[in-house]
Amino acid sequence: MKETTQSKLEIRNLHLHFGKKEILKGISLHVPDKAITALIGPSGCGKSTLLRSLNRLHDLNPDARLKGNILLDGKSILEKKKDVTDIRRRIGMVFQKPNPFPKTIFENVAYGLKINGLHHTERLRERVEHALRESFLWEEVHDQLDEPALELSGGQQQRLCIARAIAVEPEVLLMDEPCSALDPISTDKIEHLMLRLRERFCIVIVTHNMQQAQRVADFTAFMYLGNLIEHGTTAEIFENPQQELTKNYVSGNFG
Amino acid sequence: MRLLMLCTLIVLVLFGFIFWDIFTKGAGALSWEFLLTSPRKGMTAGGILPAVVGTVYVTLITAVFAVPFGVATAIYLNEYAHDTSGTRLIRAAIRNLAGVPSIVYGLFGVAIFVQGFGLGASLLASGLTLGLLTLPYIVATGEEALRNVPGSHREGALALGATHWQSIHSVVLPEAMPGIVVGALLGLSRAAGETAPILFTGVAFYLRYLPTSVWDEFMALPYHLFIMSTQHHAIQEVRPLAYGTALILLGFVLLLNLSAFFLRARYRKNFR
Repeated sequence: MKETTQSKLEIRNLHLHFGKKEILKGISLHVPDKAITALIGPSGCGKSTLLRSLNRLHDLNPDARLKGNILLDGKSILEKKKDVTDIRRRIGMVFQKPNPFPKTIFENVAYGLKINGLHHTERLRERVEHALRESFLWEEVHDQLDEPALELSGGQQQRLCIARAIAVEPEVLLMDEPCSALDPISTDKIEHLMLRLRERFCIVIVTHNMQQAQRVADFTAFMYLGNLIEHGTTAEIFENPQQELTKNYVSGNFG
Repeated sequence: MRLLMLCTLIVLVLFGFIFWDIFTKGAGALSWEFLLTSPRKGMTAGGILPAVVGTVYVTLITAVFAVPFGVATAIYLNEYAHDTSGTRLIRAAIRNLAGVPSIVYGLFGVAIFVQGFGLGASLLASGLTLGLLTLPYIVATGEEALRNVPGSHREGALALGATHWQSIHSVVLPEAMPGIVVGALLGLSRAAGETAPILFTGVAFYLRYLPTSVWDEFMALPYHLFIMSTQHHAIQEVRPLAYGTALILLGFVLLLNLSAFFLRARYRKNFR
């Protein structure tokens, strides 16, 4: 690809096995800072698996084996001795289904701050308010911070999860099909939010929705059966794909 | 459908009849005096205070041993242990332990606690034996409660930089707590009503004093009931007292079950 911006994340020849099955077959990708990179591809192509490698969520699965390397600001994040909690604090994640904790709205956003040792009440309040404002949620919830988060609508819950993720001020934000469980209006709000967050974070989004990729992503990577087929600016991928496979996928011939 | 309803009805009538029988025959014996005094005149008069106190004590000791170990085991099995043939074997063993007849626990208690550890026949030995009996139940219900916490909540916590233990302590456990507590209370209520495990390990026929330490023998409601209904020299005479004892024992178990029920309801409300 063309190196237009400095890369925040660099994936080098990444292989991932679950048991004997090879899920990622040598992925190499530069992810630029302060931009949105979309991972697209048909179901089972490995895009979510790749995303979850980036904050080492596969550590939980004893059958998962990673080869290759992932660099954050030029430093490997895959080394065993590397503090995985520190990596996950720097690389936040928003999941496919909104997964707020069954706690209050305030406690949800404060959670990441508290486990990182912030207990000062006033500071906590400031950070929580800031994160909620950033996520366009403050106006809607500022007078019900002590209400259970599960009483919010699905779209609000997802924005709460985004607030929770950005409250700890990560450098990278991973989003795993963040809108797939939401209605069009909520989706629209989250896309607006992403476009604003792009100014501060490096965002990687997995999406099934090609219109969404075109609306929000600066760069797009197309994956198929565990391989990275093609990667470039979103315009290049959708308007002038170099590979036959990419052309077929983005024009809706399969997927 | 009709048949099923009929079966349900029969079951209900049977239980209703049992309760009605115990209640009508036992209610006459009930009074504060019955609850708060010791037996007199060779147990043909007076109350059942020592048995009530003994049952409460032994249940508390059971709780002190069974709950922490049971919950810790459940957390280990569900949150840390990988799914290997070893852990599957442990799970199967725990399930089977829950089905072991209580008299077998009683014999084991004699061999290990009374004789092996030299605790003698005592509250402590009985409490430990009942603890063993309750443990598999608490482990099983605890694991069930932990399993019901969605994996996405664990991932949510980890993705924010929580350590494994932080995610368990601050997200998983609070969510599983209602199920854990309810399971523990139900397990304890079962232990409180058991006779066989305490039979050889510490319960006494009749004691003039209340137990003052965990090394003392004690009286207990289920055993007292057993004596009054089968071993007493004047069975006809003490029958109302036996029914009264049965009613108190039922009441104690019902109290534990009800508190489990209300706790669950309260937690539910807090979480939704």
